[in-house]
Amino acid sequence: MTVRLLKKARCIDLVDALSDDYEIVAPVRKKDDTLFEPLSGGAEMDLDYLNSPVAPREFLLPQDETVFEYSDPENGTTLQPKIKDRCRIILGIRSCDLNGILLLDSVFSKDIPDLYYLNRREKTVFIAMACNQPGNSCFCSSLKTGPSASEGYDLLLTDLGDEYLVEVGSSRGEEIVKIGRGLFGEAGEPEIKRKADLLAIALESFVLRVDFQRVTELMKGLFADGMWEDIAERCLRCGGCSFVCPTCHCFNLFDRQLSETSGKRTRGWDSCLFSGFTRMAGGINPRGSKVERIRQRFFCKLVYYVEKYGAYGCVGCGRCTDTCPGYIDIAQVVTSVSLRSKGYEVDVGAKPER
Amino acid sequence: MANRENPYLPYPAVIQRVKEETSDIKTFSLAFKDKARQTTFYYRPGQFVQVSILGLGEAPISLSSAPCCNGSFELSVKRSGRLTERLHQLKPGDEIGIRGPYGNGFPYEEIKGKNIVFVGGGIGLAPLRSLINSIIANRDDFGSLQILYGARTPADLVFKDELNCWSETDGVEVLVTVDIGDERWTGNVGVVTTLFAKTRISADNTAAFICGPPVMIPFVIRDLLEIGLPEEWIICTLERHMKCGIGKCGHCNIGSKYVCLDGPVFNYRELKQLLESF
Ligand SMILES: Cc1cc2nc3c(=O)[nH]c(=O)nc-3n(C[C@H](O)[C@H](O)[C@H](O)COP(=O)(O)OP(=O)(O)OC[C@H]3O[C@@H](n4cnc5c(N)ncnc54)[C@H](O)[C@@H]3O)c2cc1C
Ligand code: SF4
Ligand code: SF4
Ligand code: FES
Repeated sequence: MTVRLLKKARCIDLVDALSDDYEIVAPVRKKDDTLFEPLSGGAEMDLDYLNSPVAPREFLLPQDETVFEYSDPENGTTLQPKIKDRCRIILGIRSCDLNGILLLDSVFSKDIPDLYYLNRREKTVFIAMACNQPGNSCFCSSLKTGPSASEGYDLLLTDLGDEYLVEVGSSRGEEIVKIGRGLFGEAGEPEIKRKADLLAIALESFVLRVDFQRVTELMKGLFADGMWEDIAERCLRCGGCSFVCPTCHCFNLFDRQLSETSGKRTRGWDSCLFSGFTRMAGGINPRGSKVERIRQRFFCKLVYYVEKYGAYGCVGCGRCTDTCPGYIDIAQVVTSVSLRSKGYEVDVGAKPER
Repeated sequence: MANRENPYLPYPAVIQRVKEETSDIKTFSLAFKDKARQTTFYYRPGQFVQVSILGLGEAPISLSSAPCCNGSFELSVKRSGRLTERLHQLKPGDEIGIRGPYGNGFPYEEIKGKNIVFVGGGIGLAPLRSLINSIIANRDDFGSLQILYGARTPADLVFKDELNCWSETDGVEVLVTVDIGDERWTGNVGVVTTLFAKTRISADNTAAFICGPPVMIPFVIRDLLEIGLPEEWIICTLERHMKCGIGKCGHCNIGSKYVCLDGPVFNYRELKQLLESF
């Protein structure tokens, strides 16, 4: 593994050096939140952030994207597929979200490949950022998806105080180091050791520890359990949890007519919490109740994802918990599953103490 | 990147013929505008396509023709919403978009030598017709054939000419019933499961194929199990809300299976193992 050092003060220069070849997306402070946004210059960047309220998956699977445009002139219909081709760096992506993208990779490349996602993916470079101070809702350490990434990054930064330790994870990462020649310093054993110490402290400081062991198997035994009704009581069907989640991949496809003779087919995020998600012709709805829908969400993350793609569909970012107006908390759900399967009564109807 | 096909692009297909089956069901005979695409359009009975009408979106529709005649293909469509309503207004010469075929399709090689029972309800006969006609075209490869079909009223029966044709074929038995008869109807009245009492179904070396409204399926399965058919030879094709057709959009799952990709055809043993009810 190649390692380098990058002075914090030189980050802006690195962004400048890279912006000829890449669009750079990085955390930007907006009032109370830090959001991932394309930069117009390095100065807007805020690298001392916890995480964005919405996962940066939108840069691979946009909330709203044109699949193709169509027009119907006299001489027949034409379709114009819209596939993006700009190279992009996502700078400052957290380990949880990077792992989320690795899961989306499985979804969009398995069986029949999804060109729109994969084209973007192949042109996306990740400069990830390890977390020295996990947040109160974070539980990535329980899933081994953080606080520092172990795969999937091109470069991985760790905050060592005045500088970042830079770990190079791929040939694309090498390429970036080459473009930023002169900005990077040498690093060696002492810096690697400092990172290991910081990581150990970070691992110690998680407030939230969730026992995921056997949860898939236990949930299968609790499919008909009453706990889902208690959880459903608190769901307002807003779909917010799906929208902030780094691993939700569900989308809708619909047409928008723009004029008499032209329009576009669009795809946009959807959520299994919406009642129309499964409604069929004749009004038949296989998941007609809120209980069935909220159960779908948790089974998708903790059972179906495992069966289809070999890993939990949760990376422990804690966003859904922070977002939910009904205080539905996935960590509490996992813990309750384990208690319920031992026969205990659980109170998933109450707001968790935190 | 390798030259991968964009799975979301519909290809223009021209309507060749339209046959009015009932007041709300029509069979469309189609051919891709691009001849090369048409001659290389291979599909299996039980697979479906996404039908596209620009401005209205898409609807998943089963291929109702047998794959052997590859100059064209057929879709039998019930008018049930915006897109299907518009489709019903189209005439020969009009164009629609098609992508696919999708889904696993019915087992075919595996059922050679077996006796086959079909149980269809309403428009559910459409995907079964594809397999029925494939089997009839290769009659010697299969044992006896029984086709049990039910519709709401006599006016709702689809493929009427073919039902007659099939019943005149050697070793094929066709039984039809309606939920509500009319003054001219002299046939069976009652739901499709009442037909089980009107014939003898042997459980020996038999495969059954079911397609119909969701309420019908569990009752048919129950009766077939009672007759003694093994779970893996009770084969259903299911319907779910679909968008992508290729296992990405997440709309059609039943438990950990995607109906568009892992289905729409499942045998009862597989269905039983799913957490969600089908
Ligand atoms: C694998 C499969 C095979 C099918 N084969 C046939 C067939 O051979 N013949 C036939 O007549 N019908 C078939 N259907 C049903 C057909 O897809 C629906 O009737 C059709 O999508 C209704 O579309 P619409 O635009 O006319 O209705 P809409 O106006 O869109 O809506 C009417 C209702 O249908 C629901 N709906 C919308 N989109 C879909 C969708 N993509 N899938 C399911 N429900 C939807 C809506 O939520 C609404 O409740 C099949 C469905 C599936 C899943
Ligand atoms: S089914 Fe629900 S929980 Fe699963 S990916 Fe789709 S929206 Fe997210
Ligand atoms: S399910 Fe919740 S905690 Fe898990 S990855 Fe999604 S938003 Fe984050
Ligand atoms: S229709 Fe999109 S996953 Fe099945």
